[in-house]
Amino acid sequence: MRKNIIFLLCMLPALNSCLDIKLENQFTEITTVDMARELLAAAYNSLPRYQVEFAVMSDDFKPTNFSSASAELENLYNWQDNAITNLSSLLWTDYYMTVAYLNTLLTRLDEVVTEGGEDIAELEKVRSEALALKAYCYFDLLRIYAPRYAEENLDKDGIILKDRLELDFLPRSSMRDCISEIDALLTSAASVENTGNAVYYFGSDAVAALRAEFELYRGNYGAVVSAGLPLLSGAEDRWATAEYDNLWTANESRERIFAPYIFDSFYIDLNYDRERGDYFCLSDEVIYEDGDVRKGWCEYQGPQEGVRCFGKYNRMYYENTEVRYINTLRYSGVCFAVAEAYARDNQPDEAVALMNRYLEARGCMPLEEGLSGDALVEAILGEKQKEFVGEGPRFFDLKRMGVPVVRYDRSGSQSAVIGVDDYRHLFPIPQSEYRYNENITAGHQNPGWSYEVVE
Amino acid sequence: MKLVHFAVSFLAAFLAISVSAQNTQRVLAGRVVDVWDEPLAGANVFVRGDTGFGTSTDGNGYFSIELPQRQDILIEVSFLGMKSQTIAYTGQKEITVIMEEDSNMMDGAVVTGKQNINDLDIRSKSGVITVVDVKRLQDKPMVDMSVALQGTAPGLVVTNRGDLGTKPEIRIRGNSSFREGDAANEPLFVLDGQVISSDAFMTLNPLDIADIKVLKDAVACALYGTKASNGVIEITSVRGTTGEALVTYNFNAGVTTRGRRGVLMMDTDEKLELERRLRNPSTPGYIYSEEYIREQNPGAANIDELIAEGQAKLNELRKTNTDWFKELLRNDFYQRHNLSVRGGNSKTSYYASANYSYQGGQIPGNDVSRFTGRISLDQAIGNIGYVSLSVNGGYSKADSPNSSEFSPTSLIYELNPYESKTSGELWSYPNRTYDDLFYQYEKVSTEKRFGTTASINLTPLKGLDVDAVVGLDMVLSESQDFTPSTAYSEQQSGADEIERGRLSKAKNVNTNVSYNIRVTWNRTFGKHDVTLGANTDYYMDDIDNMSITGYGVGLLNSAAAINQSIEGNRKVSTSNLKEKTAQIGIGALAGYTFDGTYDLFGTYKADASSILPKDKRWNAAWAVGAGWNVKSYFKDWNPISALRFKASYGRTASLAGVSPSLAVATFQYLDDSYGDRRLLELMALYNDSLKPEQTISTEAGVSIGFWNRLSMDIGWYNRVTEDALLDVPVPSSNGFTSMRRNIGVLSNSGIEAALSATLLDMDETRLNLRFSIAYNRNKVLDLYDGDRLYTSEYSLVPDFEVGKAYDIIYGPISNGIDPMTGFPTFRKADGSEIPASGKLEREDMVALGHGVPPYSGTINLSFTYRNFEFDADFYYVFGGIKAYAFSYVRDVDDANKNAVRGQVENMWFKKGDQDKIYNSPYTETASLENLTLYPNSRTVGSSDYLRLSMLSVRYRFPQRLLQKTGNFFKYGNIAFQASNLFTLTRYKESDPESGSLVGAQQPVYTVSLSLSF
Repeated sequence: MRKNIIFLLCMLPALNSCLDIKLENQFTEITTVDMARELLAAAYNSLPRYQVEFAVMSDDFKPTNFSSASAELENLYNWQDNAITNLSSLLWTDYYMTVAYLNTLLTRLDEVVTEGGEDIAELEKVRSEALALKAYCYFDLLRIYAPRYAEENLDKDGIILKDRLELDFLPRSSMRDCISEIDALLTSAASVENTGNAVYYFGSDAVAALRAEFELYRGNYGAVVSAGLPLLSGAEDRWATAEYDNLWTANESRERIFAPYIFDSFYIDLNYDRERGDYFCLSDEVIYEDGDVRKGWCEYQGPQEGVRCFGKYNRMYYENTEVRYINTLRYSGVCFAVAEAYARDNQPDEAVALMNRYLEARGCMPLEEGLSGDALVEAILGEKQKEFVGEGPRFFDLKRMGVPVVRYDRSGSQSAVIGVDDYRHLFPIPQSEYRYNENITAGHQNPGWSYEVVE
Repeated sequence: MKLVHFAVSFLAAFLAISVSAQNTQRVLAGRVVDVWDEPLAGANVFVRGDTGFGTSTDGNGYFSIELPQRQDILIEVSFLGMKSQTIAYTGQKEITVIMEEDSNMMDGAVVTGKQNINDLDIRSKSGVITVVDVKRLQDKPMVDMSVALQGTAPGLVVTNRGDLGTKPEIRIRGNSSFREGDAANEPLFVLDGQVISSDAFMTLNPLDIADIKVLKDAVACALYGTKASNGVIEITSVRGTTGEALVTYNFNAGVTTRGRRGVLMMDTDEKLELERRLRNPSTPGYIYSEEYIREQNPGAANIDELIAEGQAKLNELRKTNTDWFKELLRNDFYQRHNLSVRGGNSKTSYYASANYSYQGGQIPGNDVSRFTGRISLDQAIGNIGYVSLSVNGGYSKADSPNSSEFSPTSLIYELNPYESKTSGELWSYPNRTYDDLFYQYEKVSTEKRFGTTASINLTPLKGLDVDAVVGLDMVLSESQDFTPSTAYSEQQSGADEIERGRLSKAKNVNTNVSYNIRVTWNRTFGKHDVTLGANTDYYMDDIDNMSITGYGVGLLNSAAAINQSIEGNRKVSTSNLKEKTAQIGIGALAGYTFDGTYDLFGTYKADASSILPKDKRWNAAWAVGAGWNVKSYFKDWNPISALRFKASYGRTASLAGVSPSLAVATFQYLDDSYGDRRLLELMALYNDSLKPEQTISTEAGVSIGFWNRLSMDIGWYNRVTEDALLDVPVPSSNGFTSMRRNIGVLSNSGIEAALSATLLDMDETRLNLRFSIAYNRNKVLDLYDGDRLYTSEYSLVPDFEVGKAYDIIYGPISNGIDPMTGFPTFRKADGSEIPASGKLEREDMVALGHGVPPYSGTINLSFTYRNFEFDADFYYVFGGIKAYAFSYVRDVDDANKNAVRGQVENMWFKKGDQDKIYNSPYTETASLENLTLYPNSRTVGSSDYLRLSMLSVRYRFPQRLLQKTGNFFKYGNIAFQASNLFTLTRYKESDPESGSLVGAQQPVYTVSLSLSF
């Protein structure tokens, strides 16, 4: 008996280790490069998809007879506080979810066991993509939640910068810190040569394209050109009509720089009923001339008589075509960034020349020689809106450019104008943040938005 | 080699049985009852000095014992908790033994093997253990064992949650965690020493059960360690007896009925009138009305003709007046067949049974059928102990037509009285006929259970017991969900014809393996009685789940029909979950009794679990208890027949509902992909400082008896849970919105009392009454992060607040419907009135009542006259409220569905309508925000109810009648038995228990016949 007890006591450490049960389908460590890539894939897959919402808030669309059937979209179109608050809460959580995945991955990359040079190279690519994707998320968040870029705004609140997965209660960093963080992330992402991968991975070209966008945002026009121009050599091939058509199929298209892969349905929220039509249609400002390659894909004759329905993914939904790629970064986008930088940097001829390369490929009338100044910038942005209509970038441009957003009612008359300095250009910090984070106090809510904490 | 040995002894055992059967010996038959004449099941009856000749009583207290061929035979009868009796055998054929309760239970000798080896006598002297009256449980004609358990023990609260075949909520003394749900709050189920899942418990055959004990306090539970923080339900199965083989056939058959009609719906006349008033052009009552026709045809020449046509249409509709409650719900049947054989000799005893049960639910397509079997064998090993083996298995199948998307039961409240099964396209469901509503969905779930237990009980030296039990329990649950391509939802899905029809099939294997080895030493030195013990146990739980969901099956209800070529969001998907956890424990106990009067008991158990990382793995459960038997001071003073005090204190760590991914970063693959890569997902925002919950229980109780006629048990308890876990919201800049954290301290405290009285005790007539009541209240004692906790970023009232109960339903006070606007108005804290669209503040919200009823209890009545027995059980619950759904009150938009009777009378239609209950139907939900977001003083109702849960009238065939069959039949009885006969409640919607319009417990009426031969 006593022996038994002694024996049992001696057994305890052994018992302890027999409880180290490895779960068959759950892992606590990221040990191989493949696993790192798969965790990164989850981050890619979690990228927020609010193209419909951003497009509705921009001036790409106008209401149809069905708009009132979707209170959510109609309220968003009218920039109603509640609708923006709800969207803001979703956006914030989704972007930070992706950031959480990336932080998890980045802090575990050093544990990954590599065998041989190929493994090491692949691991570096994973690291580069993770950094770039994080910069991409921060950049979007900054443009949504912080004031527009201006020297006097740099000390104002930007976004929360988070470097690890663990639970944190962090304050908002200044815009200046956020910008230098994005800069640093892009710099280290660019230090790795990452080409030849599938278009749904954030390769070197995507890093350069994002750099161009980012530099344009902060007015570094020279840097926009130096980052973007190399991507545009021989871009005419990429702008071929066949490549453009392929953008709206599950086929490959050389026009894509970064296009997240998708298995689910995409862009179905604009549609009210396939037999009846859409909640919103193309705005009267977005007009395509005949012969414009983009016309065939941006306008769509849906079931609504006399209404220019939005095409692209929306048409794919009508036609039951599967969406596999969300065409996020494109060579044409780089073209607009570089052209705008030239125009703003007093190099109008370079700007016009570059734009005309693009316009010719799209089958459009070229810009007039000698166009310059604001008129040139406006023309470039007009073409940019036509290229990216319904995809969301216009929303960010409106804020960056300080263009008032005009709202119409169903009859077509103007119902409201969201001014340049309207408080709604900065989305509200969500309630979950100021209710549960002691570092987000009333002073850190964006101006004009409520800060209600029930104590 | 061992196997061969086993086979030989098995064979030998059977030979022994057959030999003894030939060698007819003297047999004594009889019955063991308590002082209230309640039969005692499982009482031990044996020949003193010759434990080989022994048996135990059956479920009705009957026994028959073989006697040795010698003189001066003394027969001893013992039963746990009763004074043992010794009867001299003088050649009687039959005896009735009346047992008296004994608070000092040292005499409870064990003569057969015991598999529940944690069931130590010493445990019950200071612990709180309620023995369920299994006989009453068996009298309830109900197919679900766990639902039948409702009302069998004070403090054990069982709440039905839906359809027949749905697992009920089972709680001992409330939720011990802030977290809701079974994983964190369900008690531990132990069958013959083997841990089983609650799903396995649900499928047990009540007739195979000899005894169920409900362990409530720390002292009773601590022997099970950290698994037992929510209490334990200990089940002992029926074992063999000594004596001639007794075959019993038990048959129950009857009908199940529709049950209580919760909400009376409109008849055709009222419905058409409502439609006319609501003016929805998709309802016949409006479009055939005179006003509509006039409006649509201004200046038409034939207007009178058109109006007459409309009237004719309405008159046509008035010819139909369907009562959809009767039409859709059905009476079905119930049946149960049970065949068992038990017997044995002095060395070996056996028991085998087979059971088939069927119960039809209220809605066609909902039923449960079950087949179970059980074999057990006890074999004496020389004079030092026993080996016991048991094997049990079962198959059960539950069908349901209710899916999360579509529930045919809800059609009772939607289809119009002027519609019928054959009336073609329905007004209530445009473009659909009655047939389009049915055959939309089919779900079959089956459960295959297998369990085996082997145990050994040895007494190698006097006073030393060595017991071991090892067991395996497996439940294979399978389910198949099928939505045919012809179902309306599929038709409307927009998917191509070949992609329609959804099938989902899942298989889940839950395996429990456990062992427990216990050494107990007991010795008496004069007035001192000392017990020491130690044990080690192991418990492994393995969940292996595999499921597949696919489309394009058309009308074939088979996974093989899935179209695997489909891409996109109807692509076939598989999922797999495999989680294995294990726990090892080591424990020690000590007990001391002085002079049979004072008892002290202490136990300590350390458990290590694989769930937590190595450094936090070991957690403890310990308890101390004391008992004082005051009666021993005045043994001969009869007015007080029993008086005993008990008190205990204990502390248990709990890992209930904690999984490894909550404590360390854990990744798993999703069934989606990104490009050519799988997705490796981070499962949760882990908490590396996660600690187990600690449950601290304090308990005090007294048992008192008067003249052996009236007995009373009163107990008070307080259970504090420290480091209570909850998924709390975190700032969403963390990517995740919630995280499981140790957030505070909560308590459950309450009082349980049971009173049992013999009101009438004459020769042939007895009347006993038992009354029990349990009160539980919960409170948040502390929150580590401030005084309030909101589980949602939008909630107005904190979900948890220090000093407050956490099941309170808050809402504003309603001022009723404003006669001018027709909108509800509410009272603000300052007394002013605000409209339904106004902004409510925290202080405007008042506590409307408890969501969980704090009081529950039973009233049991037993009346015996000669061979007649009458039993009735009432179950009651009070003190809680439930919100009404009001989903059957219609406004303009859903005027095409049937509405509650009286809505025309009680709804606001025009300015000046006074004292209405329902708001204006002409409105948008946005203007009713306060009405839809929060319950208010007029949209909740008391959920009190009183239910006649069991009624049984039994006639036992007298012996002389049975003798006429040439003693072919040994015992027999016939009975009328019914369950859930009626429910009295003030709650205005269907079911105060489940709070849903569907899924009330249904009445079952049966006739039962039991014959033993």
